[in-house]
Amino acid sequence: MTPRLELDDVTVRRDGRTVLRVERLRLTERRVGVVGANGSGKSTLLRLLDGLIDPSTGRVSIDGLDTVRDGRQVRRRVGFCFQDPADQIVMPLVADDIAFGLKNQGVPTSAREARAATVLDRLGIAHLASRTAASLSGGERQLVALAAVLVCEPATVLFDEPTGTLDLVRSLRFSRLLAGLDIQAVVATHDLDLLEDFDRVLVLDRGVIVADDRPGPALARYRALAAETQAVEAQAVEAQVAETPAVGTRRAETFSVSPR
Amino acid sequence: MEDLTKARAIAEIALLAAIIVALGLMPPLYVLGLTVPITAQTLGVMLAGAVLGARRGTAAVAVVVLLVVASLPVLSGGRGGVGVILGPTGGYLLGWLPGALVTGLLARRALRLPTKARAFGLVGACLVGGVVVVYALGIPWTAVVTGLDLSTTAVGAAVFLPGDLLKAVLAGLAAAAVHRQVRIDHMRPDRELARAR
Amino acid sequence: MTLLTDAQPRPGLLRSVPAPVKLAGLVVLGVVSAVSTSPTLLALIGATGGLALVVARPHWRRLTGLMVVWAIALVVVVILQLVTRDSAAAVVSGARMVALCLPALAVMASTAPEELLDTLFAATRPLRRVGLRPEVLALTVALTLRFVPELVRQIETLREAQRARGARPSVLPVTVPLLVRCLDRSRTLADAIVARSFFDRATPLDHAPPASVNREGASAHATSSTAASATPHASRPLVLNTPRPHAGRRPSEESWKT
Repeated sequence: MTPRLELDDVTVRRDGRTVLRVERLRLTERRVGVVGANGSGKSTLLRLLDGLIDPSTGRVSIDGLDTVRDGRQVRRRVGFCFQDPADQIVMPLVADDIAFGLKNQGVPTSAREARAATVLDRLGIAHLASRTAASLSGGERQLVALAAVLVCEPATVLFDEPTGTLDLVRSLRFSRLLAGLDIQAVVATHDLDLLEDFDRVLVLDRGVIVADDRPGPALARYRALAAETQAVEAQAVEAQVAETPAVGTRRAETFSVSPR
Repeated sequence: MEDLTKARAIAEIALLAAIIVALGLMPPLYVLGLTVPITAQTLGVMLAGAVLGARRGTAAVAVVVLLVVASLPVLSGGRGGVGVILGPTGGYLLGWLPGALVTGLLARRALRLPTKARAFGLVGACLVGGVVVVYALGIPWTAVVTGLDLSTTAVGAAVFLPGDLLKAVLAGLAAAAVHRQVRIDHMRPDRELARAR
Repeated sequence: MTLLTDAQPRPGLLRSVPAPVKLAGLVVLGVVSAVSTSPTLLALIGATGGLALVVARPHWRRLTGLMVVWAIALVVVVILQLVTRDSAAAVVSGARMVALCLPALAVMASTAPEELLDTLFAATRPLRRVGLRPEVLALTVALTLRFVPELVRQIETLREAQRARGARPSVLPVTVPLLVRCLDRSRTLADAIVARSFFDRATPLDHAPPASVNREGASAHATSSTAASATPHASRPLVLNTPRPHAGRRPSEESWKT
């Protein structure tokens, strides 16, 4: 059964500023996308769900486990894939890193090896096991980081911009990989294609959920919002340029005349 | 959240230790304007204290010393091993530990100074911790290992003094720049911390 | 570049002596050499060390850097003693340096870094009382080794950036951004350490009975495995289990193969 992520009356404050406010949210779908501008609160929302940030007020829970009180149990069920996979590989050797989470959970050696082998095979990276973390390419790193999360068999995995550093081929490969995983996934991303066949998409704007729908309408709302913001910004720039006409015009001319 | 605080300490200590090692493995750097390149490893030691404070800074240095004893080639020029400690310069290596500690203690005080005086305070912390304390252990150690007089040893050590003084100044300035850019909660003066909350 | 040096010690008599014994012996010899003024005793210690070193058949390449530095120091010290004092003092000084150097090299040559780290972790066990757990130390060391190659690469990039602007790589423009990035990264890294359940292991295995580990038996996958966590994995170092086969008898081998 898909886990149930619940947020009630949650606010997160940082340096006296409210960075996220969610009145009531229930996530029970298998594929949930989170989109929004940089700094809109996507990472904060993901970290809340793993108990890496405590809510300033309100309550976050996963299948009834409170992320503050039962943080450790929550983190056994929830895996986290960070934006830069290099930040979450903690061991010098790939094989040791895959074993790290299992060791922390007290899984005995024999079971550890078997589970590691299965996951590495499944992701097609068995050949990387004896490599050092520093020698991996960007794409390989992401797969290793993912393997290290999946080997702990979490029910839910939180992805923070999983395709942010990947080229198109690797993004598509990740997309296909994700589709084949039998877990609940909450994915914060700028890669809207990735969310096409998701069950639900949340749109965040300055710390508030402004749309919560199926991907089609939600992404349409997000695009409209982005266009709106951009238009406002462009107006502001124009207003500024109008105040200093000489410099503005000259620059524009230089650019348009330039042969390159 | 207590877990997260501990994890932060572990991550900071490990990364600073890695910086000390990495700076030692790199080809020497040039000091602004001068033609003589310097090895930056001791710079890393002072920075550990001046940036992370007494406890975490010393811990970072301790990790490096541990790796040295374990024969890993982590010192400048790829050296390492118990042999280094038993050698004539072993005292300087061990001196890094109290050196980072004193640098850290003084740096914490320096950060309480008015903004403009902080850089001076941090340079002072690096001079006392990174040079005075380190030499105070290094020179007698050399005297014991080599059997030379303390005064002869001190004269010999003086050859390295200008370079180390320069490094202390640079470390202090670098630490000041880092503290301007990054907030390191456990190093901040209490009143600032209170204001932020 | 990896810090895990490929050069494993070759099998032999000294190789089979447990690392703690060798380190303890080295400390004793070091203290004796430091206080002794008898050229005969010092020469004897030096000769024994030299013999042990040759018998250990070291990878000389690894030792040359250190030996060159020492040889220069030896020459300088002997000359200084001859100038400032007399030949007797020069002999004692020279013999002492040899007596300190060669046994240390012999120990280095005959002991794997992993084994030495293992010994050092074990030696810090009394520090548990003041809150330093061996697994925390082991994680810190592992993280350091993990990030050194990456930082070396970062420094190279920063140096190149300086060269691209026509400047020689100097200290501040390299170290300041390096530190700032590292401190930023330490936040995410800390998140990852927590997210990957590191502190789960630290507590239940130390204090709580196994039953409490099973509290969340509801999560189907973890049940069978957590039950086995009553075995004290916590005290085992978790780094550096090099995949290559180890030569010689390894008293501590088991603990590295976890």
